[in-house]
Amino acid sequence: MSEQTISGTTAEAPHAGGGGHHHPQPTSFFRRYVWSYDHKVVGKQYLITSLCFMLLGGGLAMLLRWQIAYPFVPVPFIGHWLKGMFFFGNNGAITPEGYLELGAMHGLVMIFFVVIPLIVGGFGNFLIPLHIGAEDVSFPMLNALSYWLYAAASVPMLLSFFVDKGAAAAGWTNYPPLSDIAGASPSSLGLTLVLVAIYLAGFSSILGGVNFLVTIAKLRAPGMTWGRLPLLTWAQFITAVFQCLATPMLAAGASMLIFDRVFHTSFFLPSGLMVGGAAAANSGGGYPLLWQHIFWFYAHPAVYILILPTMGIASEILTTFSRKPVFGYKAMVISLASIMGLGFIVWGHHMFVSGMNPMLGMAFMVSTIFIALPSGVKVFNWLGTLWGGNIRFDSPMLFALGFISMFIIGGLSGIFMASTPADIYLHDTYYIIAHFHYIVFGATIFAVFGGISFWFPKFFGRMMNEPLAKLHWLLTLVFFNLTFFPMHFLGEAGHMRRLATSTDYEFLNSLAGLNVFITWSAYYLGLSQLIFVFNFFHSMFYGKKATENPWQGNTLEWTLPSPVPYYNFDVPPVVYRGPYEYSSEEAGDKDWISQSTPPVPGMTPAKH
Amino acid sequence: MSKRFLRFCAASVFALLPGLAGAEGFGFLPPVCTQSGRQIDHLYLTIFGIVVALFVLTEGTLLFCVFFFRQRKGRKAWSMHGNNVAEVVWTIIPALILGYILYLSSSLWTKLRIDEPSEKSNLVVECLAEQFDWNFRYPGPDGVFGTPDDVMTVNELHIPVDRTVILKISSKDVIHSFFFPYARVKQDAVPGLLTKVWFDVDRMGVWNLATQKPELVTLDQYNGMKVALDGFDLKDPVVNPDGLRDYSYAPSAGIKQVPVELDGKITQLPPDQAAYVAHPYEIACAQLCGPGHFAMEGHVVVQTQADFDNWLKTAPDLGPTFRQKWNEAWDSQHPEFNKPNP
Repeated sequence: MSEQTISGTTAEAPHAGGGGHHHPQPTSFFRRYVWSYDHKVVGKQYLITSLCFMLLGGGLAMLLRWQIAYPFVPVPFIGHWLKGMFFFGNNGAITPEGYLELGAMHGLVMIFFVVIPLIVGGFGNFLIPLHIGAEDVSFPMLNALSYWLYAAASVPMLLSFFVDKGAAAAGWTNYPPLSDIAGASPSSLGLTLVLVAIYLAGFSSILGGVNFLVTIAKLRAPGMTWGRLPLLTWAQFITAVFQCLATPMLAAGASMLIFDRVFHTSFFLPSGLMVGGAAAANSGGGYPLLWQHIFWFYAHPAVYILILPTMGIASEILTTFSRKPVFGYKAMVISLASIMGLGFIVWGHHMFVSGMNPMLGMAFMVSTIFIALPSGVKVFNWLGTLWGGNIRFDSPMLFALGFISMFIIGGLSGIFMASTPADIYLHDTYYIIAHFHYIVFGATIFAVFGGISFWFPKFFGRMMNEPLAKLHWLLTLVFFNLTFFPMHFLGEAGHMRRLATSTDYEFLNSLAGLNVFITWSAYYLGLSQLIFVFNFFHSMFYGKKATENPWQGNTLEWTLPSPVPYYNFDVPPVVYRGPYEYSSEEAGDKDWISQSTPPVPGMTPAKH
Repeated sequence: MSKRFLRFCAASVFALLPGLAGAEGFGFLPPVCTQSGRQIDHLYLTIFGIVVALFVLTEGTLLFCVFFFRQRKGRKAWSMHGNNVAEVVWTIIPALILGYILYLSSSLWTKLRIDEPSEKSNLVVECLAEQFDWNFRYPGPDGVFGTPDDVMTVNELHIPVDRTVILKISSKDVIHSFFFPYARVKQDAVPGLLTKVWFDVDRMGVWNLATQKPELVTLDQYNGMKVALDGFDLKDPVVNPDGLRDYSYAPSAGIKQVPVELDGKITQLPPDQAAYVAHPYEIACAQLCGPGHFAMEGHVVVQTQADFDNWLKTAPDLGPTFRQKWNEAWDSQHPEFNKPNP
């Protein structure tokens, strides 16, 4: 039985990663830490770079919240030092242009420079080869190139803050004509630089996606069938399909917009545009909604790029700390795949009130409503995983439980916007902001914190400080909810987003106090993250030395020493069973059994 | 399960009932002045009820698991790989619930955006957005747009109460979004594209001078109250320490008589005899349109049919330059839209 299973799998396995010939580990600093082909180094480069950008993106959000709570009041300290520079006027208060810049750049940095590189570049690179029992990814040089393209993309992005009129200020979505005509938009060269940055970051994302697809398809260890892949690797595989098929659309759109801005074409400019009372140059024949279609054809799948890998991370953590197999492995994979399938045909739900044909709105409502089904199936299966478990509450598990809990709220609030009539009212209000922060922060970033604490031993050979991690979890959970839950109330009251101040509107008058409350919650949320920053760097050097398998996990990375050696596996591992055989009969006295533990004579390995 | 827990569940369900019944003024929802707006609120609250039930179910299960299946010495987790019956059940039941939401939403969407009312029998107003103003145009007495008798306004939309208004929206420069919160209407204004919304406002906005608070009243109620149409100013709001602002109306300086409408007749009375002031609704821009986006505010003045007709006749002329600029922008983008109304 076991023989059969093994021979029935990937024939390419003996060639896992590098075709069997090994180079010695480079000794020079440059080849070891900078231009490294080692997937683990590339993963760590992604991880640390994107965490640094998270501080930048978070800092922008803090300034943003100041302006909303205290409109046109000078920002304490920072505003005083930076009078007349960046986002600040001569009195140290944030200007309306500066506010738009903060909003656009917060979104762009968080999506293109934090979350995607963090969960795909960081976790994907580090874990995929370990999970499938390979020595490296299929194309190690391409992998290094992908990281350095991402790093290169950050140059124009950072540069844009320093050019005349500042960085992009037309929303992270960059809707033309606002982002297109010099006279209409508050930014000039900065926006073009940011578009170039997006272009490069997208290119890096495509390279990563191709690499992961090939790696997972070709480099699985003997016995690692598709049905035995850890769910995180499944999620990364499906995410990689998204990256390869959707990101080129972003490149196309960004190129067209760059052409419009630099070479004065008019892809997105209709005839007869008048800006500031004068006819706009080079307008004619274009169509503003074209950008929205192209952009959301990429950016809606991108939303799933932002969440699918962390669904995988959550699955790994939940099963390990429940000491129980994942409930409904097949249903989990099928729901991931159907999220991908449906994910390509829901982009129009961002455009219900855009002027798109209302019949199309109807069609997009149908697909959008039904994408809630696979997401629901995942939630129910996570709950099924917990049901009957023997749950341990280490910090990764606390974050994973936070992930499910916040994902439920974010998922449910999405149903309102999927319903076109309700969306007429809720569109472009704080309801949307609340919704996607519950998904991208509440779910994704929670899973990221959980994942970092979970795999820290493999990343750095040490454990994170557990009490500090738990304190960080508690404060983040509390202040996250205090920050973002009240935004549902703002949205319900009709408070528009991207508003430098709401003081002009009488119908928003009563919400001023709530906005101050949210701002202070956001500040405490921001401060709580410093615990993580300290814990991360302190544990990296002074944390408790980690054992091989501190959490008693089953997947292949837990058979390796901590930290993982160069080329990962001395001997290519052979896989005998599924990744989640916790508490099975075969495990005997302990409640776990590694995927590569040979079967006990006389006992059939579980067929999963 | 303890009695207290059951009592808590029962209390939460009862707290939701007014929401399910579609009570006005639920939560943070602002007042509503159209029937279609009420239907949107009702749909919103129906979804809210369903969502809260799903929330309690799932988060409750989560807390239950965390509590009852926490690690204890000598216990082993169940080795269970799944259950196909469960998978089918929790796919089909949510599918039915979502199908129900879809049914409600699609029929309302059809009414709001697909079944267009006839332009012949209803009032048509054109709206041309620009950075950072709302321009409106009425066809004037001849019923044809683009003729010299057109009536134009900036940032002020006048409409008669209890009548369907069709708004044709476009933009001169960038994308804006016409947002009329009390009517629950939102529609992007896209340059090069003509979008259309329709609504019938059945509540008029007035300001109660005794309480210094806004109120929404029906035409019948309006006819029975002494409403000053002019002669009062909205004072600069007083900002409280907590950031909230107190608005108040006061008679304009030096004014002795104000026009007060009662039972459709206008009489001149001393300002202290007016009980209410006509108080327009707000419209906002909901799509980022540039640095002045936050200040792109307009107003909707809802009038009785007689007042509206009267206003159309006496509305100030904004001059030939304004008219020409409008025509240039509108015609160059929409030559086909400017055909006379049949």
